[in-house]
Amino acid sequence: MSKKIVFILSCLVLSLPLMSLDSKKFELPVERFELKNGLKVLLIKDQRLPVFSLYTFYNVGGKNETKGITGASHFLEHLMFKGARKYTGTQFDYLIEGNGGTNNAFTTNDMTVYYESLPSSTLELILDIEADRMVNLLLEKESFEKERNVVLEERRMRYENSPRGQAYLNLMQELFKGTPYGTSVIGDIPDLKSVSRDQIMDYFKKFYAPNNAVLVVAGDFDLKQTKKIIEKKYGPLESSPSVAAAQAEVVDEKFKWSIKSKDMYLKGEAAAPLFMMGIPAYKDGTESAYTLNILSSLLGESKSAELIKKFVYSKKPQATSIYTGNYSLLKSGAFVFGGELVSGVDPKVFKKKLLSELKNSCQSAITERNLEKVKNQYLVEMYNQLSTNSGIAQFVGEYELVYGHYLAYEKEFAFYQKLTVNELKKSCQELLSKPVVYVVVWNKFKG
Amino acid sequence: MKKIIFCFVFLSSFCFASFLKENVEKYQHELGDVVWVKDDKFPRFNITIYFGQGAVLDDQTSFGTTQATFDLMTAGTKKMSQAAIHEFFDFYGAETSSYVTHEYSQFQFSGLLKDLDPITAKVCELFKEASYPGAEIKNHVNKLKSKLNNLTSNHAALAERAFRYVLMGQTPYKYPAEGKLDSLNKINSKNLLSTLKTLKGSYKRFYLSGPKEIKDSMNLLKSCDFSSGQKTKHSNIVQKKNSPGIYFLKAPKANQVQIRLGRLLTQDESNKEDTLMSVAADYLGGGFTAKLMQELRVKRGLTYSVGAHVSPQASYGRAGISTFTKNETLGETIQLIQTILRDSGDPKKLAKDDVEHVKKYVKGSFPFTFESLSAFVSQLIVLDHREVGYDGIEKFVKEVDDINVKNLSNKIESIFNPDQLVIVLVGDEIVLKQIESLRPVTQLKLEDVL
Repeated sequence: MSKKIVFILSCLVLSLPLMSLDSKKFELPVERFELKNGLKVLLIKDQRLPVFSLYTFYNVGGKNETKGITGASHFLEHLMFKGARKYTGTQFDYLIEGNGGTNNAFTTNDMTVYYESLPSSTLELILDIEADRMVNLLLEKESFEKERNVVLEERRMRYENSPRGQAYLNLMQELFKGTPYGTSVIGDIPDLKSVSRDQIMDYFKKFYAPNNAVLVVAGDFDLKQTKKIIEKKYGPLESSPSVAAAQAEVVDEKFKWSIKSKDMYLKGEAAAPLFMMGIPAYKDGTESAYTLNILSSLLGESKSAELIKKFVYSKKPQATSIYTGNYSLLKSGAFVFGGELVSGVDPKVFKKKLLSELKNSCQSAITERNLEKVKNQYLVEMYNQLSTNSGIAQFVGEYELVYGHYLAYEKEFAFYQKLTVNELKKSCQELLSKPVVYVVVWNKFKG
Repeated sequence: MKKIIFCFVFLSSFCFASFLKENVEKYQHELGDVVWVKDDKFPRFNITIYFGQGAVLDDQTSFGTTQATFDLMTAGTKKMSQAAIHEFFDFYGAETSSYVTHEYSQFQFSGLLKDLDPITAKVCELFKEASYPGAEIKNHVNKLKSKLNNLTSNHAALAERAFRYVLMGQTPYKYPAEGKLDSLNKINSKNLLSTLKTLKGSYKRFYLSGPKEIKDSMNLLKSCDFSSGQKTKHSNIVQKKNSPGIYFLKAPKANQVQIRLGRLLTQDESNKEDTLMSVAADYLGGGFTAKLMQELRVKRGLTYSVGAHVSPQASYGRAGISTFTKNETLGETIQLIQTILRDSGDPKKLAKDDVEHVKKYVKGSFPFTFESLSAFVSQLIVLDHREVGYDGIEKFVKEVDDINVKNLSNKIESIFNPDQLVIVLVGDEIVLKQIESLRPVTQLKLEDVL
């Protein structure tokens, strides 16, 4: 979620003294409408280059999975490239690349997103392809089994042969234990090996429908003509009656925290200790979550950030790298720290130092100047993200999917504008009163 | 920018000439050659200083000096501590970074246009007054050593390092610019200051991207204490062909093997038929419909990803293929790659439809490199470094059109002949029995690679 981008746009719109810019230059000219079948559409014209990016967001991810079908959302994402009724087999990829385009997709705990970038002349073609696979996926047996192997390879790459992946998996499983977020997005190995084609087809029919999707086009196109094409290609698709019931199953009670502080010391192929630490936090869209976005930047997202100053660039560095992140999801969240320790540093001793430093930072690091610094950094990041069609499409599409309207960033804007140093300090102190899960991977631990 | 895409679609080389005329300006300044790329979408700037000196001039006993010279420029000056320097740039939302290759180096800084003056002044202060404090050097070196030792946790990165070590073993380029374990300790204030002085006196080129106001930065850069220097002449460094064996580096308990195949290209090879060579790599491993991706991943599920590349430099080049697979399918994967390379290098087996497809892919996707300004500038820097000239871009479309089954298969056979490619593997020893019958296997030592 592009939290920082939101913040920056807010600063521009409200014309803070720091920003001597014409805010009109940064207005996003979004044309928003909804088809009768529930498909939400956002169109953003930019005729700088005769190219466009198309994003399709589906409201399905790890949060929708249950035991036995963990990884279904991600596996389905892979299978969406394997052929539908009109565009069969590998036609999809050949048509995209044969026209000079690129395409990819990603799956998170909350959503699955497909995206392409192509020359403008191919817009109607790609809309036809996307509409076809939205409802007509074939899931042919042979390609299904081959893709199962590909997903297992991906799992090996991301988790099984990566100490960082190992730490991440264990941290998330512990932090979100007992909730649908408590498994990896790629899925557990037994489920990946046993999930059947019928189960995946059921999952597809449950969640892939126009009334569970947001379509975004950003780039060079004719607005009137494009609206007509979208109505023509997507209009006849039927909305799915099962979507509402399926999303209703994703209730807040399933995501309640029930963890205690825990340390996990895991044997893995890291020559120096690799750590991750997580603290339960807040779900997306809450003021508490917004506050933690700022706190994360202040603590660990630049060379002068507090933890980096104290542990990486100090007189006696304890870490070769440190990072922080506020991981807000639809139903829950976590504040995460991570990094690699310098050889010779005891990870158990480091944890105490880290928590002690956090406690100090809640007072000393949260200042007006540092808050101003974070704002400046966000501004630059915004320019970088919104300089491409892809960046713009992803930004507005995520807000539309998560909050129901892309303009939800205005609420976030307003909050960042009025956030005070005292509120930030209070949030920091509250964070430290919660349970902490600390995971370290190191080759010196016993198996 | 719109014109260039229009031109590529309609195959008019004239349009690129007018695009260059309207958006790219080259001129001489007392500090060196300047290239200004117009970008007025947002009020931000980016300045890249190209230095015609790279890591190959490092003393071998203190290899990594040029990279460290840039990395530690922010470690302190006579007036400011490292913390104060970091605070300064972060407060402005400015970024500084460097990119050091063996043949050249780049220093880049960026920020908001309204802050051009203070940011540029600070950068010049660093170039003039960087003091390389001993304590900061020691900390930096310790962190680098720790990171290098921890490379065992990243098998892909380790495979890249091992691949370079094997491929470039007979050249001064066998370690990456950041150095090697046993040379880092020799980096000190004296050699860093000396390297900085040499860099400031080397040949330079300045790439400015932003609105026209950014051209004012050249006057600001006068206070960096630069002097003009001569261009480096690059001659061929590849004296011996690679011996096409298998080189194995142990990664205990890995259940997946990293695979790299490739060879060195001489200066002559890497400067000839650029477009054809690049399309050969795209055909084999450029996108999802590339040959290796289709055969390894889509049809057989052997891997999650596979890629092919050719990287021409001024004095040499590299051609390579990279992928990974689970332990049980290593032998099958290597043999399949070799078969694909052999068939693709045979004009009787290379399908005309596949050749036409990759031509359309390459022509159609080329304009996207201009959507991102930083990618466009990077292209210009490489072209200038190799002294190829921007008309190479202009001729690109015509050259792609001239590609056919015969010349593409010949190029693949010449560059990617499986019998001439070195194979480097990183994985658990359990996989050795699958490959011992293919070719002699040489075990690499981790301490040699690091």
